[in-house]
Amino acid sequence: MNSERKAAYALVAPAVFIVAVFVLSPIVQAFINSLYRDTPFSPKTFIGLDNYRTLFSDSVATGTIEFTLIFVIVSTALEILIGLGLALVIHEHFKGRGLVRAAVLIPWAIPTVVAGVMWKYMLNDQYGFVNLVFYGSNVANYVAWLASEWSARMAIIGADVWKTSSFAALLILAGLQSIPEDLYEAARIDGANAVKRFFRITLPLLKPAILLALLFRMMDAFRVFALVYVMTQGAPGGSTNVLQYYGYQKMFPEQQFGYGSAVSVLVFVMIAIVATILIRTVRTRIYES
Amino acid sequence: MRRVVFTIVIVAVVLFSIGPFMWILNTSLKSPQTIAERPPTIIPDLQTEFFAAAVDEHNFMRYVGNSAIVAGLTTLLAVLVGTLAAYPLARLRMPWRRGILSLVLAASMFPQIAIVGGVYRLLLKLGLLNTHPGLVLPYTALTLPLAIWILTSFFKEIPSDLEDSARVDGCGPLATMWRIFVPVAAPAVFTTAILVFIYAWNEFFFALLIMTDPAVQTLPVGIAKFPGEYMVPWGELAAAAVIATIPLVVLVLVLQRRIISGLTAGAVKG
Amino acid sequence: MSTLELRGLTKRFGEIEALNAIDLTVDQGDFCVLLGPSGCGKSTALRCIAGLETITDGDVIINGDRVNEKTPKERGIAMVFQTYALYPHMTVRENLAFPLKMSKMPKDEMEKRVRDAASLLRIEPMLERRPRELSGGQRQRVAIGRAIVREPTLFLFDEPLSNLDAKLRNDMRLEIAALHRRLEATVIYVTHDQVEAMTLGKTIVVMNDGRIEQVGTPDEVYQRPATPFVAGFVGMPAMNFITGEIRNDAFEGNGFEIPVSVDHEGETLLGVRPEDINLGGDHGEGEVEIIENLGADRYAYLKETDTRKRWAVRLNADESVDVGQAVNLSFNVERLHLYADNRRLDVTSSS
Repeated sequence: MNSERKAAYALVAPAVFIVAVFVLSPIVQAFINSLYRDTPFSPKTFIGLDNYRTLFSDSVATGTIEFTLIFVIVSTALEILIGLGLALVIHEHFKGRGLVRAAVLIPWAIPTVVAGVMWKYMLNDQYGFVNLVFYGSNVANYVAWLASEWSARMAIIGADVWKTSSFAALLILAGLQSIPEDLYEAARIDGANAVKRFFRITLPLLKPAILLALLFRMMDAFRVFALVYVMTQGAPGGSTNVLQYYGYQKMFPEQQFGYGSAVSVLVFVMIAIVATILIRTVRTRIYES
Repeated sequence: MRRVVFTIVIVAVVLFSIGPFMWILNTSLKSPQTIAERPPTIIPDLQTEFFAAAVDEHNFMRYVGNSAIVAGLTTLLAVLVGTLAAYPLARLRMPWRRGILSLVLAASMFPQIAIVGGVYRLLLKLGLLNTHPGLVLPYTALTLPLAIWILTSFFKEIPSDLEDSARVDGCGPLATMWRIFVPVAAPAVFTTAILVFIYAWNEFFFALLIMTDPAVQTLPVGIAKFPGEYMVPWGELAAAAVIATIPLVVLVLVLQRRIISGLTAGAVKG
Repeated sequence: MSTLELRGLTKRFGEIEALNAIDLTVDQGDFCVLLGPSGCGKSTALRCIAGLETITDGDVIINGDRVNEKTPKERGIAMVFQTYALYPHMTVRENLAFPLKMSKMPKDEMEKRVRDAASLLRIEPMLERRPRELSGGQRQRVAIGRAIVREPTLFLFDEPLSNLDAKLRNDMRLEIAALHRRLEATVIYVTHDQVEAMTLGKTIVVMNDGRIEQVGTPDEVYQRPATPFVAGFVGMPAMNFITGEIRNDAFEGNGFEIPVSVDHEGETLLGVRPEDINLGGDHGEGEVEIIENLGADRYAYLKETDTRKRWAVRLNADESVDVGQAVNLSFNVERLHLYADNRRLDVTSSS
């Protein structure tokens, strides 16, 4: 017994060590560093919550927080909707379903950087496919989508939705597969039509899966970086800047380590709040059902 | 009528999913002349000049090599360490089991930006910036939660009689894990390996910050920093994007079932 | 010398006492069946003997050695599991050889033992197959084979037949009995199935609630159940019980009196098996609710109209009743079972 316990600890130790050194300890450091002015140009000094005061008063920072929240809410909402649609399609039985499922997985598998490059090129003002679709051979009307505020924001959100809806779809697909076929047959015998069956059976029973997809997608959406880096670098005028990109700018190119840490702590706290709320809901939902 | 609608839906789903990739593939196969045409042509002239340029002029295979080394080593390390940890977490009686498991899982939710500062300074101290291990170690830490999550949920499903039988036959905990659990859960181990590999192949944020020397940069960094300040060399870039993506497309086509089961393994069981 | 001895074996899982000071001695060559309902501790006892559970208190002694701290491998036991527990990634041959490989046996000796076990169990043609390609009965044989190759001091069986269908279960039961005779092995066999226990066991240990209720031959357990629990658990349909009192050398209850001579006065439980009840008489009455025809035997289930008490009665070949019919009952007074304070009362002389 004792030897079993010793073996258990010995086996878990390497994993715990690696995670502690490369994830947990850096998080703690970020919290501590956020309380300092830490730049190469002046000695490291303790400044309490000054970094956070700057963060909430600086208009660039607040603009960044605003777009981050817009991005998280809009993109996850769309991803869940489209994911639900995709899941319903690839749940059906039809010839070549395996290939369609593989096709749906491709956006998920493609590196985010590549997805960013693709969409940047799709939206290009000279050779972009989107312009070709909207304006055809009328090249004089071609639009520089990424150059104006709202279309650039939509572009970032759209690229993210394209890239990650399939992940939401897979989680929802798993939920669909766990609904027993009997329920549908019973409902059919009771005379419920397809629409009724969807709203009365499918959707209520999918709630846990949808909440889970929402949890994963929301937490991930707060961490958006590569798309912004590749497609807009925050332009035009910071309108597509997101917190993780802003923190990166402060911490690395600008070398403001303390302030950058404060930004990172803010992202951490936002994710923690969302995760706590969603995990609670997921738990109670699952217990209820 | 229903069948027609359904077919249209399926075509739309497929176009939505692979359309952008087809467009970049299309672009990569154009010649420098056709790529500059406005409006853009739909049909490529099937030239490979851009691929040649990406490989020869931009030395693109070096990025492929770096990515292969980093992703390969990360996969090996994460699957090995993850398996070691998942077995006791799934099967052995130990205090703190749930605590360790939830801590590891929580670690997967942390934002990279909150981690990267500490990691950067640590690697600086260890002299590991701009080295392959400097990227492999944090990648392992970031993929371990996923690996442990999937493997634990599969190990939990192995009947306990099998474990008892191994003990009666003379296996200690290590032998039970190595001779029984790992081979029996081989599909899960393999699935974990694929998912870790894809993660490491695609990761950008840490790679961007830790690998500043082009000689050691991975594919995503190479593509994101593709040379060209004012004129983007779209043709070469498209070719590079295709090169970076093809291995993943092949993986997905061949292993679609496994990937889906792996991604949903933990989720379904809550 | 006894092959297995349990002294005060106790096992607690936190607050729950799974085994309460079990004492048991099993002789060389015995076929000892641990019988009881689920949760009675029989499987826990087996796992403690195997070394799969640490024991809280007491001793496990195998061949004279106290093995409390020894690993399963060091105890010289082999075990057959309910789910067979064949290693799915190994062929039948590799499964059979696995325990030998773990004990680093020389290769030729290993091959010889695998061959012998395979021929004994008639599984030679399947040696290169994997478990999933085998039928339930074949898997069961391989599982037994994996136990045999080790030539253990003690064979442990944990409900080995409960995953088989009824027909196959019968065949395998006979096969296990034959195997036991042939190997002259000592077997501890856990089951909740009394037919298995009665047919296979030389000794039956009836367990309930972490305690041993009775140790005896199948005959003793059936004919002279030591406690009300054993009386009620062994036998299908179950024994009928009547609560009453013994006064002046007579059992009084349910409106009748039966003279008995026992060394006891006061509250008493009277048990009578369905085959010891006859139609007609004044020991009970009731209305027939259900008649069960099992082919060889027929049983009638009755309900008393005023007390709602139920009776199970085996009908003799010449007796016939209809559902709804009211009948009177009498007991075969030679074959009554009397219990007081959870003990069997010995009838000193029959009247």
